[in-house]
Amino acid sequence: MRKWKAIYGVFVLWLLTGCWDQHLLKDNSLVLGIGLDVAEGEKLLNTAVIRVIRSDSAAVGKPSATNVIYSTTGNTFRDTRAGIEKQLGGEYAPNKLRVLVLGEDLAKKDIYPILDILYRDPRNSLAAKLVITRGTAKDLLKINKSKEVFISQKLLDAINRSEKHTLIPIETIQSICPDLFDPGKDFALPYVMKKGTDSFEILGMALFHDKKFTGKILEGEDATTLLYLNGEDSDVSRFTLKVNPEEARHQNQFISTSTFLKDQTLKVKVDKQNKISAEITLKINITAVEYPLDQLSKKSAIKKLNKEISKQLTKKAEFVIQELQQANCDYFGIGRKVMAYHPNSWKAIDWVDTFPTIDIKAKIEAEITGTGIIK
Amino acid sequence: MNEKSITQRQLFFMIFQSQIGIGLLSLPVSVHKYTQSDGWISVLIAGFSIQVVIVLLWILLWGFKGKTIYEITVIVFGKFLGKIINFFYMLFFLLVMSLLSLLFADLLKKWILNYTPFSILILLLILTGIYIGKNNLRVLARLYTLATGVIIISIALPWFAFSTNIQLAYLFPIGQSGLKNMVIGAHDAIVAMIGFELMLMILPFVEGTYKQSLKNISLANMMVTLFYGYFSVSCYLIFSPEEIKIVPEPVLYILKAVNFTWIERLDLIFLSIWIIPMSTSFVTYLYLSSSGAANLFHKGKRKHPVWYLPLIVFLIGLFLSSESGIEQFGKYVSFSSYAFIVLIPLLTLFISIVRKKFNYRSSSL
Repeated sequence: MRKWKAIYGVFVLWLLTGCWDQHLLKDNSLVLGIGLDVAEGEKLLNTAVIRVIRSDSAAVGKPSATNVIYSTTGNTFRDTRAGIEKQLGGEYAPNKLRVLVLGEDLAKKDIYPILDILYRDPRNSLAAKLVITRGTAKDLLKINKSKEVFISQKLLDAINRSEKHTLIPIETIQSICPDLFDPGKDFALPYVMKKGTDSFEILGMALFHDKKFTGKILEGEDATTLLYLNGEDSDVSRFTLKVNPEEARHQNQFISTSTFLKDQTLKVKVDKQNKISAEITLKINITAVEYPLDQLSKKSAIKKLNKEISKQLTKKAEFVIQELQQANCDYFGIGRKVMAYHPNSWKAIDWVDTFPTIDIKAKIEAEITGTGIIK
Repeated sequence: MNEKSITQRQLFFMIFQSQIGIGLLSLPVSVHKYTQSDGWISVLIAGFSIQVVIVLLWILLWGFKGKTIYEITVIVFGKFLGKIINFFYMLFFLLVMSLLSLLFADLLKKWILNYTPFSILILLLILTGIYIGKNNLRVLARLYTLATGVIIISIALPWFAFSTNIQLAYLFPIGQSGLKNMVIGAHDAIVAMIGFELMLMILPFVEGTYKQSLKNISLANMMVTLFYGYFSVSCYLIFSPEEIKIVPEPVLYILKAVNFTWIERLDLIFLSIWIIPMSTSFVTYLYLSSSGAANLFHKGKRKHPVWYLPLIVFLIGLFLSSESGIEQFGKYVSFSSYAFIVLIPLLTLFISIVRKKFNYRSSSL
C-alpha cells in the first residue's frame, strides 16, 4: 500500500510543475478596438487601440488607464499582430475586443480572409461589433479621444445607441457568420464617417453582397425602413414626413412620428416558370410626437394622415428595395426561402443573376394610435 | 455478488451516462457531411438501430441469466476460443478508452489549455478515471446517477444561443439528402452513441427481472436519442449549412458566440460541465476492460488491471497526438465496434442456439 502511495505521489508531483495556460492580467495588453485597412501591395494595415494600465501614478496610488494606438502592416491579420507585439512589450490580448473597424476599400474585397482568425482562435471575442468606415479605419481610430471619451468606447456607445434607434442592424462578428456563408442571404453592417478632427457619425447601413461591401449605403430613415421591412424593430424609431406640402410655414408641413412595428410578413411565391416574386406586408403603429397643425382631434383628419403616411412609407420602401436590388444584396433572405421551400426552382436558377430582376412588392399600413398629451 | 448489485433506476442512469459523452460535441458536423441539415433524421435512425442491437444483446444475455459476456463466450466457444475472444473484447474496450482520452485531451487543448502538454491532459483524465473506476459497480452507479444532474443543466444552455438569429429555413427541405445518405450519416451518429454495450457486463448484477432491465435500457437509449437530436437541431438552426462545415464542434461554438454582461465565454463553462459526462464514458470502458483483464488473468479481481490498463492508454497517448492521427485511429475503432457489439454477439447467439447451450429458463436469479 505504501509503495502505491509513493507511486501516486510521484504522479501528482508531475502535475505540480505549474500552469502552462495562465493569462495574467498584468502581462496582458487588452485590445479594445482594431482597425484594418489596405496597405501598399495588398498588405494589411492593422491599427490597434490598446488599453494600458499604469499603476505608478504617484501619489494617488490608483491605477490609471490610457489608450495607446499602434499600427503595423503585414501580410495577414496575425502577421500584423506579431508586428504590434514587437513594439508592445505585453501580450496582445484580443479577448476583450469591442469594435472591429474595416476601411471601405478593404471591405470592398472578400472580407472572410480577414475575419478567419477571429473565428479560428478560441481566445478571440466573437461578440465584437463590426463596422465599416468611410476612408480608412486608421484615420478614425487615430482620433483616440473623441469628446473626452476613448474612441473605442465612444464607437461602441454610438453603435449601441444607433441600434436602439433602429438605424443599424444588431450584428456582431459571430452573427454575420451564417450569412457570410449562406448563398441565399446577405447582410449589412453599420457605416461610420469621420467628422471634423475629433468626431464621427453613424450614417446608416453598408450593404453587402456575398462577402463583399457593395459600396451602397442606406442612410437615416431609409435604413430604418429596411430594418422594418425585415421585421427588425428596436426600441425607438422616428420618421419625419412631409404630409402637408401646401402649408406656408415650413415646419407646419411636417409630422414627426414615433413608430412601432406591429406585424411583418414576407411571402415568397414561385410560379411554374421559376419566376420568383416576393411580397412584404407591414403594419405600423404611429404616435405623433410633433405636429404643429394640431388637427388630430378630428377622425377624418387622422384617416387622411394615415393614408398619406402609408403612401409615403410605401414609397420609401420601394426606393429601399430598388437600392437593394441594384446592390444585389438579398437582405431579406428570399433566396434562403426559395432554397428551403422550392428546392427545384433553386437548382434551376442562378440566384446572383436572378435577385436583381425579381419582383418585390411592399405594402405598408400605418395607423396613428397616439398623439401625446395634447390632441 | 450482492454488494455489487444495482437497482433498475441506476441501470438507466448508467446506460444513459455511458452513451452520452464527447461524441455529442462534434456529432452535428460529422453527420452533416452526408446529410446536409437532415442530420437529425440520421440521429433518429441511429437511435432506432441501436434499439435493435440492444434487443439482440438482451436476448443473448437472457439465455444465460446471471452470466456476463466474458463468461458466456467461454461457455459457448469452449475455454480456449472463448478466452481468445475475451482477450479481443478487452483489447477493444481498451482501444475505445484510449480513443476517448485522446479526443478529450485534443478537445481541451484546442479550446482551453493551448499550452498544456498533451500527455498531462491525458494524465488528468486517467487519474480521475482510476480513482472512480477502481470502486465497485454500486459506487459507479451512484456516481453516474448523481452526474446526470449536470446533463440536465446543459440542456438549458443552447437556449441562450437562441437569442441570436435562428433560421427555421435552414432545416428545409426535409429529406433533401436522400435515404441512402441519411443511413450513411447514421453511422457517425451510432459511433457517438455507443456505450450501451455496458449492458453486456452489468445486466447480471441488476436487481429485478431481465424484462424490467430491457425496458430501462431502451428508455435510456430513447432519452439519449432525443437529447442528441435536440442538440443537432439546435445547431442546424443556428449555423447556415455552408458555415457548419468548417465548425468541428458546433455545440461549443454556439455557446462561444453568445455573451452577456456577466459572463463572456459560456463555452468554457459548458466544457467544464461536459468533462463529467466525458469522464463517465471513460470510466465505463475502464470498468469493461478491467473486468475483462480481471477475468482473464487475475481470477476476477480488478485491483491490478485498473492501474495497468490506463498506463497503456497513457503510452498510446504519448505517441498519438496529431489530429489526423486521432481521426484515423477513431475510424478503426468505430468500425471494429460493429464487430464487437453486433457481429460477435450475434455469432455467439447463433452458435449457442445451434449447440443447445441457449436456455432462457436457466435462472440463478
